[in-house]
Amino acid sequence: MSARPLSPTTTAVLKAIAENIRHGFEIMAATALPSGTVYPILSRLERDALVRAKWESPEIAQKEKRPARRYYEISAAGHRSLADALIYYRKLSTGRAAPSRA
Amino acid sequence: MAYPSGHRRAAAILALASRIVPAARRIDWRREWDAEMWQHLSARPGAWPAAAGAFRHACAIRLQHWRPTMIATDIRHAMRGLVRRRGLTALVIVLLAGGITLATTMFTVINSVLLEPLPFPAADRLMWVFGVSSLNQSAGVSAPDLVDFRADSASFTSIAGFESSAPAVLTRNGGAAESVYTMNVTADYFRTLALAPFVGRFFHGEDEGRNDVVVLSYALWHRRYGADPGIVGQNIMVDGAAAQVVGVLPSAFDRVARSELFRPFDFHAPHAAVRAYHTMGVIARLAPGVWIDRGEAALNITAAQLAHNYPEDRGWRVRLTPYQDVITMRVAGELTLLAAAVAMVMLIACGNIGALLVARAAARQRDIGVRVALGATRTDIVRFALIECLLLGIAGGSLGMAGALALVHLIQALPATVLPRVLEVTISWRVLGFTAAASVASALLFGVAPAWQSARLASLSAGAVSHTNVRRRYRDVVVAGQTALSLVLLIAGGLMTRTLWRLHTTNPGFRAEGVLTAQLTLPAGRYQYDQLAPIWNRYLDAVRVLPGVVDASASNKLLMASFGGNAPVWAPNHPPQDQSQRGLDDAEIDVVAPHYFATLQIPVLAGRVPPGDETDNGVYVSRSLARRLYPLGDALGKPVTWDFGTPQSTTILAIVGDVKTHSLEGTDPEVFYFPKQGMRELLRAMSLVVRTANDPTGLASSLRRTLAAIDPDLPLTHIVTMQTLVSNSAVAKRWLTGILAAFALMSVALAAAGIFSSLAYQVILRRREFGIRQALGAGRRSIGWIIVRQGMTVVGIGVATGVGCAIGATRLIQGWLYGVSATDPLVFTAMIAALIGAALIACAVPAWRAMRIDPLTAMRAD
Repeated sequence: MSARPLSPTTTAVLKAIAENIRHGFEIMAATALPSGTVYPILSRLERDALVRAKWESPEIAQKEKRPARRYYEISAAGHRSLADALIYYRKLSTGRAAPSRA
Repeated sequence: MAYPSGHRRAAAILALASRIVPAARRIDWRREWDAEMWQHLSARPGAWPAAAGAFRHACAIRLQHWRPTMIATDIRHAMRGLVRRRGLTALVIVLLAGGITLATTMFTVINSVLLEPLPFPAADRLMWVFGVSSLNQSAGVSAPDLVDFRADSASFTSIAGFESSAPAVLTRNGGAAESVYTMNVTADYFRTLALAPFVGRFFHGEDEGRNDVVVLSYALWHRRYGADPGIVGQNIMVDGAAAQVVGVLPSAFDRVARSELFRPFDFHAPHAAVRAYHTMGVIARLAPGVWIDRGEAALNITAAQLAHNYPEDRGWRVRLTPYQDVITMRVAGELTLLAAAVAMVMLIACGNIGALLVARAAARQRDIGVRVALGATRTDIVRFALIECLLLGIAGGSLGMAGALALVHLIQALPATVLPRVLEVTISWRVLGFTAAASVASALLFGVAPAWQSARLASLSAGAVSHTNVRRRYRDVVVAGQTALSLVLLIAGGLMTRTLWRLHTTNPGFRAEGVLTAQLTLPAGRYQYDQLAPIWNRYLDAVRVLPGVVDASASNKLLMASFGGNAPVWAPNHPPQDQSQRGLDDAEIDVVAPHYFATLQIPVLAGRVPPGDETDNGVYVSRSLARRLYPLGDALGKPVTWDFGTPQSTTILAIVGDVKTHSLEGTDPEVFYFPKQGMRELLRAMSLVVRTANDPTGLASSLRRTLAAIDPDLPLTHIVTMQTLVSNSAVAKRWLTGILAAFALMSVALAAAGIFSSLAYQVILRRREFGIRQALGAGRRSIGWIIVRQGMTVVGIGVATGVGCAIGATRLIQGWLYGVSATDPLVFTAMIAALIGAALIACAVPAWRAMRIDPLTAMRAD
């Protein structure tokens, strides 16, 4: 995809989704990011087709007596971007990455 | 879906946030958030972090749907379109840039001169204290009154006085002899201004009355002493005596005052003991929390007590005016007037820009039809038109900004006599903000018409209705408005020009041609009083025999330049009734050397002015004064009383013609002339007047040489011709007239261009109709007549409106007029004729084009 790696917060959110943490509230809890950060990132990830949205099956929701959740799952493109970003940040931590062009 | 108990607020938040989300995604979003909110409410932080997330999420989705790609495409298309029609684009940008240049410059000047506070800390608390006589005339405050005001008032942190004195002469260290403007200030003067010394210190209380300490202005310190901090503590030669420099002022002070040397005020000087001498300027700094009216009331309580205790103070009170207003009040009106003129020029220019764009939008009708057919919505069309206008606005705005920078640079070169605080005129962030706002506002202003029209066109089926009439009505209103505005400006400019002409032809009472003037101060440390007259006689005798010199003399008051003292003068059998009526019987006091009236060619109407120095105890009076003192016309040889501290009587030796002493405007002032023995102390600073046979300017160096032969340490300064002084007396008015006239011409050119483009466009639209008319036998002349009639009807309406507006508006400029009424029929007629002439020329070309339409080609087209 783009030459520019995902931002650290976006990477964190995408990584959480890749680890099967699937909706906004849980992602907030897992990444310890505030709601005002997590939800806009979700909308951008969806726009860029790095994640897909899917509705939770109504049966499960009904069983747990709550509204059906909108679940996010990572796409193939999302996996690639996530891998790129993780490599980039790892290199950065060992000091071998080229400085970002931006 | 039910939330955990008690969270109806959460539902309200989501309902609100969902309005942000584009309709297509709203239901989906709401369902997602019902689930998310449920989770949030079950957790500890509760509803508020969830609300933040919901709003940010909704905004992020909305942003994604704002089609930034469309806007980029629009910008690209608009650019391409503007470049394709470069002529029109350039014209619009030039008009806009011109308007913005004017507006920015005007705002820069108003901002730096009127709005920006003076360069003193908390300058808004700084007040000027005027003494006000029972005749409601503003004057200064007397020194004894100042002491009482200062002792009494708790409403002020400090009250200080100052008095400008005769220019001081600097000699020895620092170069050639030089005379500088000097002010005597009380010890707390600089503390009242809240200034800190740049080097050294200011005056202490114990300095008051000392003759041997001075403070230098920053400019003088730089110019004469090379900015050497070591000068502090050293002695310099002032007026022939040693004086110690104790401190240097910060540079900010130079921007508001022209004095360069400061000495402590002497409360023990003889004139400082007289309550009737309202000669001191007084400034006061309001205490924190005290407003101007309370401060004024506090001082007036003291003033009432003084009036009760001292007969000289009867009828006097004080008035407080913000210091800044005092400095700028003489231009505040002018600047407002010019700002109004700029606004009018800008409106006219905007009318033209709008017209150009409307015409263009109409020409693009087909293009828009295609867009609509391909699915563009009305919003799309309007957005595109607005983007186009914003691009033009940005281009015009930046060009206008560059123009304003150049123009402001020119303005900074104006003399401070024309514009006070001129050194402070600089483009600021506030002005940059104004320019940005002005360009965006005018882009929107002239963008509205074309965009609205494009949208209308787009919403109607293509070609079914002709919109010529709608467009014409809009154009006609704009053109009539432009005509009216430009007529108002023309008439204002015409009245001002007539005023200048009146001033030019006013007889000043003396002949200024061929006269050279110069200033000479005889320093107190060098010459005693009884030496002054002999020195003057020696010098004048030497000057009179120089080649090219016809005659020479000197006077205390230089005509058209300096304001001298006034004093009450009355006939002994008609003494003033009441102390409080002071001011009514004031005459200007002048001390003149022999040959004064001959040199300036002021006629001696009655009596005799002896050519030499032999006069004893007698005075000359101007005709206006003679008429007031002795209305029966028998003033010659009669006694006259004058009061310059104590009343003294003397005889009228001669009556001389009236002269305009400091301005060509107004009535002839009453003048009371002493032969030079009369008041010896005034002889210290005199003005030399020399009448030459031909060109006076070449004489300066021989005047200096002659003086150096008498005393090489005396400086002869301010050498200018009398004609320069006369024209300088109206310099501010000339600038105002020049600028107004330029605006008026600009507005007429713009209005004529508006008329022209409107009619030219009509000719294009009605090309076919004119072709048919011709084919049916209409004469060419009748077709030309249609166009001229159409144009002139609109112009006629504009002229009628303009005359109405001008009658109202010129009343506002009455204060600047002289010798011409605000509704002068000659100016009105001439300007209406000029405008109609310009309009006829603007009509002629389109009419000629209409006449030359070839019926065959016209009908074949389309």
